[in-house]
Amino acid sequence: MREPAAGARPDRERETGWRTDLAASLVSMGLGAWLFRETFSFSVTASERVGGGIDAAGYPRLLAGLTVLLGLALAARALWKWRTAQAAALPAAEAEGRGGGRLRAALSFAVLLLYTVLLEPLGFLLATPLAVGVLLRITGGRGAVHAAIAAVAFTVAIFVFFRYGVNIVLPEGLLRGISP
Amino acid sequence: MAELGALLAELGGLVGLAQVGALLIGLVLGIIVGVLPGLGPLLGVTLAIPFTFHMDPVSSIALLIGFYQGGSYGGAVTATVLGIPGTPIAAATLLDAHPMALAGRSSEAVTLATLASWIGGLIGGTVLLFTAPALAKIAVRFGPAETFALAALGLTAIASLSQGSTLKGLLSGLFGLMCATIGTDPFTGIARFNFDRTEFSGGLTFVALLVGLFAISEVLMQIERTMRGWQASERIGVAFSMFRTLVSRFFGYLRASLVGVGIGIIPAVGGVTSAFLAYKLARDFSKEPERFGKGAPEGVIASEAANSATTGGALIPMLALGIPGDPIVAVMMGGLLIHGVTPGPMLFFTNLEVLNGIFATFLIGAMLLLPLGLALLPLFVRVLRVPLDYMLAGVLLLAIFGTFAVQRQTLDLWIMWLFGVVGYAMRKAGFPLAPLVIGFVLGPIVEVNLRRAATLASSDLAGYFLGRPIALGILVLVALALAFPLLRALWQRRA
Amino acid sequence: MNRTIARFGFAACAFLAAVGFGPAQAEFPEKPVTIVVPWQAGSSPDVAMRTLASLASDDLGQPIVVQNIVGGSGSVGTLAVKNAAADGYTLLNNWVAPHVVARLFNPEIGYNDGDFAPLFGLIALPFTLAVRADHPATDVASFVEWANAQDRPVNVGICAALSVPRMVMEEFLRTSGVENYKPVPFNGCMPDNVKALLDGSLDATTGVLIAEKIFGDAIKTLAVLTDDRVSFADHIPTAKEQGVDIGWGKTAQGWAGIVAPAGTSDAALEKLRAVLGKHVQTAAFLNKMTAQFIPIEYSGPDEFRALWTRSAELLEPAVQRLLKEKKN
Repeated sequence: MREPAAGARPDRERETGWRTDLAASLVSMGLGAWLFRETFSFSVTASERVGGGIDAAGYPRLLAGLTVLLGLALAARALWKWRTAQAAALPAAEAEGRGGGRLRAALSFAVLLLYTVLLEPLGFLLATPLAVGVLLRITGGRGAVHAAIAAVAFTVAIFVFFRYGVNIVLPEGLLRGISP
Repeated sequence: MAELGALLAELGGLVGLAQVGALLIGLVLGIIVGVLPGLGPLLGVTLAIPFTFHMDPVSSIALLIGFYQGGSYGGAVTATVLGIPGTPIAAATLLDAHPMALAGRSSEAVTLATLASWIGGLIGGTVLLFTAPALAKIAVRFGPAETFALAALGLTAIASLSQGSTLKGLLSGLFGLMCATIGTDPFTGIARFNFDRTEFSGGLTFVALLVGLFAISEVLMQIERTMRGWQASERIGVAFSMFRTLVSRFFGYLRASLVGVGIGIIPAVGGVTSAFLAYKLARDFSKEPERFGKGAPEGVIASEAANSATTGGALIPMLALGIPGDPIVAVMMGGLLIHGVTPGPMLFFTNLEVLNGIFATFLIGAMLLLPLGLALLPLFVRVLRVPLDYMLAGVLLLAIFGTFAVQRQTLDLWIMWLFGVVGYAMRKAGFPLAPLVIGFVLGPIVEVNLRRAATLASSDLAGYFLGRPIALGILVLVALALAFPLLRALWQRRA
Repeated sequence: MNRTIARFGFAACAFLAAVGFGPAQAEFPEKPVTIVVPWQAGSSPDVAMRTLASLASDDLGQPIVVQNIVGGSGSVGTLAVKNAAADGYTLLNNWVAPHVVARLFNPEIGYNDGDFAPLFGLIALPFTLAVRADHPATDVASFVEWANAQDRPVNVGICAALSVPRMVMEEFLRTSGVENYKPVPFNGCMPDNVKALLDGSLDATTGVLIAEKIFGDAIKTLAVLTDDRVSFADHIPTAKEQGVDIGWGKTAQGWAGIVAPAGTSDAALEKLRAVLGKHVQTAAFLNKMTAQFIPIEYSGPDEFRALWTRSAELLEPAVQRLLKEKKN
């Protein structure tokens, strides 16, 4: 009989090491502190006549303060984990994707950011096949011809869907005036 | 019974061709995202949300309901054929469906799963139809203090009851609440966290945040993992002999469905837990528990009926109280908000036709699942042959242009990428994403009601809450939800 | 698989060659026209614009698409259209709140009257004074009497902190002699403020007429805060009839219309005025609006532009008073 063991359940927390937790706690505290400070730049005079005890800055300040406190607690727990850490091995979640995978993801993401920059000036019909073609080469290792054909097909499908399906004019860019 | 028939006829009258069309599209595409490993109903509704901007409210919720129901079912096909769950909620289905497939009974397993999803959906929908209005009738008397307390309860429950570190869950929820404060203060109209750009005065675009958080981070995770294809060549058909189980195992279907709908009502617990719980119950009640895990049909029935019924239960608190209990339902609530339909007790006054449309489409969708699931089975299995890189490119393009089309602002795309990175980092660091999105959806409700209570209370906020027993009672539940993980840890240590 | 893709690719190239790079046409419009609504989908303005879009698209020869750009009390959508290309393909459903009031509160908001070319004025939404059905007051006089007899501030819902209905309501309360009240803001005139009436957290609220239709007997509307009764709700007396006249005329209403960015060619403006202007006066449109309790008051481009100026003059002192109160 196979017990539906807790470890096999897909919704369980990924086990993380103390370093990750400590970094996360620092990020949380930093974010909380920064937002806490930002709340003092609001011009909250408008809240005087409406808003009662908690004004427009008071509520986000409350949240930011709580974030710093919980961040501290997370830091304490991370340090506790470090004190009691026995497993030298890297937890699965952190070991995953080391090396090639991470590079591939970073490259793809860079392509997507570049695509976002070029979308308006070049226009959808020129920028998209370029981006999709490169992405298919990176993620699927497709050959140049194959990637190019598939990229054009994707572009046309998406274009037709938006332009004639939901009546949305996608960025025209260089083709302004001549694109359909 | 005649009354029920009249009610159904009335509900049916509310739904036109457009709505049923949207529902069908949602169901088919929903099953497909459910079948594809790594995608699931949450990703389905996320990608569908931008397109609902161009539909009427009932059609758009019909589309989302289709994705919810179809996506919750589709994972069972993958679990059977490949032995990996297409979605996490099919994990319990896998335990018996895959052994059945290995024994050459895959048609039987998939037919059973479809039948169970069908029954579960129908029972879930029926309970939804009768429970939500009753609950709303009570909730209409709730003032700002009670509404604030309820929202706080929903949020702490998702942070602490869902699996994983409570601390990280709470931080994630807080982050969601803070993201919701960006933009114009809903109470006084002054600008907050606008970083000196007018575009931010409308706040972070819900679609951009959502798509980034779930779709983009998922795509990044998939690209990072080793690229591999799936092989599923087996022919699958419909095993009509399984229809006999509807009679012979009637109580198995019923028990699991009721467990599912009950669990669904509780915030934060959801389909995975209800499926495992129903599975365990089925095994405990079985005369031959040793057959479980080796291809027992009861196991498939229990898991699928329960996770399907959970969808109906999960809609109850969202529609009646305006408090979403899981991220998929939170996304659906966002979809309603986009159309100016605010879920909660007022829905029963202001948007009765939308609400009845939701009930009707839910029941129709639950009914259609059986013929659709069985008729298109070969198509769904074939979906598994789509190359992974094509699938990812398709998801990316839909994510980008769905988000872009909403406001035609490139800024929204940058917000989407930012939250893609945030979601990716949070996944890596073991932070649950669900509290963030629920916090973001509940944020304005939490803030406005807390501050409205403060306005009405003048100077004595604590006294105001103390004078309102219902609000106080709910806040006690909040404290319990926060203490629960601690108590659980203590109890486990003693055991 | 590959062959299918290759075939699709060729078809795509052929498609691009045939459609994409053909000669440009001259006649406006040659692609979909977008009307930006600065409020949420499903709101009354959105319903009005979507109705118009569905009725007028065929006549215009291109689809009319309604796009909701919300935020900043409507100023985000307004600014977006000001910055859009003035080619007639992007229009704005302009509302008094972002167009005039937001600019009075924040002169640096980035747009003014000169940035927009009016097509026509369309909507004039009156505000009301509403209480729960079991409230002792039956008219304005008994409400004022009741309010002044309380030993606590009376909680009055205002649709939003910086809004026309708030200024109208406060002007009304001041004129009628209610001194001790607490304004409680909401996000709009429906439905959260009405819920607050029902759950007892508000004593009275600024409302809109559609609340009558939706909540029926659960609430009581004591007065319409305009000069004239509204045709489809003419059983409700005005505040003026009941002796409280704030003297704001049409400016006491939430008005709206359709505009294009300034600089749009006259040919495009004329075409849009002709087609859209025709459809907002058809029975099909007017019946739908009456069913939704949206009062239509058509006015030509010049008259509409004059209303902008008048509103700014009248609302300016009220805005200054609010700003001054906040500083204290």
